Amino acid sequence: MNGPIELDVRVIPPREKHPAIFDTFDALAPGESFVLVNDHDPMPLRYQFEAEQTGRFGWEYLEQGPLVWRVAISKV
Amino acid sequence: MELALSSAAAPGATLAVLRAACARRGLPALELVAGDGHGVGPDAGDADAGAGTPAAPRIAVYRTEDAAEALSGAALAIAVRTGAAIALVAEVGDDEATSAAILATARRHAAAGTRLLLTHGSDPAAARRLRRLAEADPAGALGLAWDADPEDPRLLQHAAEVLEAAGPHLCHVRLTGAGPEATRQEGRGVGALLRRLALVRYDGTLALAPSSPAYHYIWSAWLSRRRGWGCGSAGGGQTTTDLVRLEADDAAAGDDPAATAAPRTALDIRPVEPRFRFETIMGAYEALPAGGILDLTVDHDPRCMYYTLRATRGEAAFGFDYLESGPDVWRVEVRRRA
Repeated sequence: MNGPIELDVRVIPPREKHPAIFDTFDALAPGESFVLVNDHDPMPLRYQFEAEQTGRFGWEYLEQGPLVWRVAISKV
Repeated sequence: MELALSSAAAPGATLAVLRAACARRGLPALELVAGDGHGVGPDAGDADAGAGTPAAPRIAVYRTEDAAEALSGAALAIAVRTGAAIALVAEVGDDEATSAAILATARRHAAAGTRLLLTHGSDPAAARRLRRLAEADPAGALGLAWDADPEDPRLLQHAAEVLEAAGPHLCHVRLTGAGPEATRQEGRGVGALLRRLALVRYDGTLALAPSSPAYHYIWSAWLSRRRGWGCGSAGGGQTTTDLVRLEADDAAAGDDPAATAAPRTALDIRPVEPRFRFETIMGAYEALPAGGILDLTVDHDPRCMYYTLRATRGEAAFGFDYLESGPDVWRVEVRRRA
């Protein structure tokens, strides 16, 4: 159990994806981050973060397709 | 965490076909079930089964229900040849002789740089019993594998306890009913399981497996499709045009003369694979004339869509009214103003 905090939402039923993502974000300590793994660019999610967590998160693409996207989402 | 495709999703497929399917889906690893069509086994000509590459995903786990096979030199040879961990799926006795045989095999694997795994389900007591056995070896040679079945109510109830019980010995999770079946598993604890695995920094493999052979057809379609539904893929069966239908705005006729003429597009996005939903919805929205309405049906709260429109089109450009707000179905009426 020495990996990064990595949430692979490709496996999660659509309705449970966003709750799992925001629950994971809520569980982070300030300064911590998790890696979101998805099969498409999670841009709509970024807009949701910007609207609901304004100024409280960081967003850094680690991998951008074509099959897998990885984003490091950090808590400020 | 590394995602793996289980050969149970396509039991007749050769190793080359399984690897091609993994490559199409961006899955870096395979779980092979003993006896499936992949050709890897105790006395098979599986010389090409060795270390994977990005183009040829590695074999992470070889899964067998045969205890004699799993504890044999033949299984150790498979592990050495392929790099796979051997996962034994069987009730094993906790008598001294059986425990000693299992630990001796696990140590032989560890010495060879491979791993022996014992499998438990979502029963915390079973996981604790295997954990005690694993702890009998100070070097931690024996690993655990978890068969996580969302149709077993204990997954929803006891996932935290099972995870706690297996602890650092957990090396492999097998999720049944994943992949193209995911929408069937709503409310059964899959989201919570993945969140828990993330937060304990789980760094093992997670295999996607079908819940029943009855779903082989949809798995086969899912694995052979590079582009999904809703993007106009040729031969994909269902396309955006099938999903979107233009309707007259009958409901509003008579009440609001202005609305009578409003072109209305109904789009039920639920059958569309998640990765193609965004472009499908935005395509339908962009196709609306000014004043047109998109009647969108979704299986989760589409407020990310609202935020996306607000950020990219401006708040004045559209209207966004909820007609239905869950818990199973959400319907919103998106009106394009400009």
